[in-house]
Amino acid sequence: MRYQLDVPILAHERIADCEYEMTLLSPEIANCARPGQFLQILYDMTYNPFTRRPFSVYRVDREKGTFSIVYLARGVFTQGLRNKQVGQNLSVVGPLGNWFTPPDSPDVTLILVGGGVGAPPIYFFASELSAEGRADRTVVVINGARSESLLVGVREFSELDIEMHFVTDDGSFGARGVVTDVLLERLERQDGPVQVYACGPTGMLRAVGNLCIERDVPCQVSVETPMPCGLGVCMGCVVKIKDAASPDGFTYQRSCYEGPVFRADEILWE
Amino acid sequence: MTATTRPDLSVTLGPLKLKNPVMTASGTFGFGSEWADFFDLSRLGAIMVKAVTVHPRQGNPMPRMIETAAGMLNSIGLQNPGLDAFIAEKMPYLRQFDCPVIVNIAADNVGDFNTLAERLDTVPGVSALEVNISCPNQACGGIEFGVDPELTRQVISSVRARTRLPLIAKLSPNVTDITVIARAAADGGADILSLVNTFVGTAIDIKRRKFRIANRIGGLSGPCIKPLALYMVWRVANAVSLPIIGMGGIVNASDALEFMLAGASAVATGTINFVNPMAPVEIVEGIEQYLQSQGIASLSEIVGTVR
Repeated sequence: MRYQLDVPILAHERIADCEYEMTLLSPEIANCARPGQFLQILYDMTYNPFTRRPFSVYRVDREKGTFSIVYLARGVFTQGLRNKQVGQNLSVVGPLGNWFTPPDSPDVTLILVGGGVGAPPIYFFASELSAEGRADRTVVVINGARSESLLVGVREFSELDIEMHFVTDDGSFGARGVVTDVLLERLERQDGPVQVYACGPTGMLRAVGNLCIERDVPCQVSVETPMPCGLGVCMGCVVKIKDAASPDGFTYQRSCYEGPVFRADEILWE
Repeated sequence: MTATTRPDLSVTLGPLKLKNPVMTASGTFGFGSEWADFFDLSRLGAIMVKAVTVHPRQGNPMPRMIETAAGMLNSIGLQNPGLDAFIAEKMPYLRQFDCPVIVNIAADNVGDFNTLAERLDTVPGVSALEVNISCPNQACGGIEFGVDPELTRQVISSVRARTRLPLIAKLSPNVTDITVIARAAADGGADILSLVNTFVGTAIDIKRRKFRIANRIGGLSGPCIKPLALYMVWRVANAVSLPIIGMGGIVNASDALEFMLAGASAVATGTINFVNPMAPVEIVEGIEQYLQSQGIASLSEIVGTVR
């Protein structure tokens, strides 16, 4: 079910350099949102900026009926979003898109890779897997950013019952390097079946995807594209998906509707 | 409390009768199924589905769409599953609703327009065809049919000869005098005119020194074009006697009423559907409230009353 709702802001905090977490009250959305799904948020009724912007679901508290989003204040929309006060309402459409799907078998080790502001859906997924309480399943998270000040969810991830790796380009927190360095090292010492999930900038997704394809490791990535409508009708968010039946070898699919989560080996990277 | 009679929102567009004047503009509403969670499509005056071409089209490379001040530029390139898949896969869903289905047909040659009209003529549930004469005509070196009065007349009369369905000519605003094209469409046998399609525009990324959309140019839509579109509807309403479906930047009932006062018998919501999925039904309700508050019994009484 997809909703269009005016929902109140319950909390709004700066969590890192230019990064903010906004918590909203909506039992409808909290109850049905799944890891990897997103919401389209309207700036305000003046329609300036005009279109909604997509934000992934970060933390969900189903008992309290709340969910949160994380944003990097870097454009007109998100810099303005900083000024929204607790108690104000925001118009939200969602949850939208598909989600990360874990394999049925508990024997598969799951490695979740987040980069920068791509970390929120990875956290949501990790927290759901962790809450399942299946001691037999190994869940690994690799969360990276350029530096410590841009790393999302250090405390939140650390509270989960998972194998946690942090990595920064400058070594200011966790390992020095990029997420694929840690992923490669982790895959090399992995025994038994493994599946990888990733969300982050396109360059990172491509690198993670290729690394998995080379090793025959199944990998799902949540792509980052503009989402003018988020509803599946504007066709402005499409990605090339391999299609042997098409004369071009691909068909365009909507990242807001068939995606945003695609198998890495299906994507024809531009 | 006295019961007030509800105003009559029904509209008659030549051969096409609608229960209310609000439809969803082609290309902004998919093929309807995407809206299942938001409202019952039977609440719409009509659905204008995304443009259908004879063969499937992939559409243009990304980026295809960017936001501009109070609007957006798009160059999607008519991505659609093609006529066969439309009839087999999209029409069964659309037929479920008590809502006329208007099929927007697009082609770059008259032969394809003819094929589309002939095939759709007998498809159950299709209520009218909207002829998209704003796509480039390959036979004439890639210029739009809709910017040339003679090409407009030819393509409309050719389609007219191949279908009994009500025919809507969708006019391009990218012309010197839209009334000339409107008359040509009328001469060709159109029953209804819909206007306007998007305005051609572009945007440049100054850091990368490149166009911001892959196709370099796109169609501008949204609230920024409303005064331009309203002007064109008013001009055409005063020049041609055919009924008009007005569109271009409508976001609420007050915008819709402006188009009707200027001479449109019905309206379509476009880009606002992306931003407010409930806009079409909110506009139906808003028009009803306006008529009630003004003591007007029937919507048709106000059409074209601002001269």
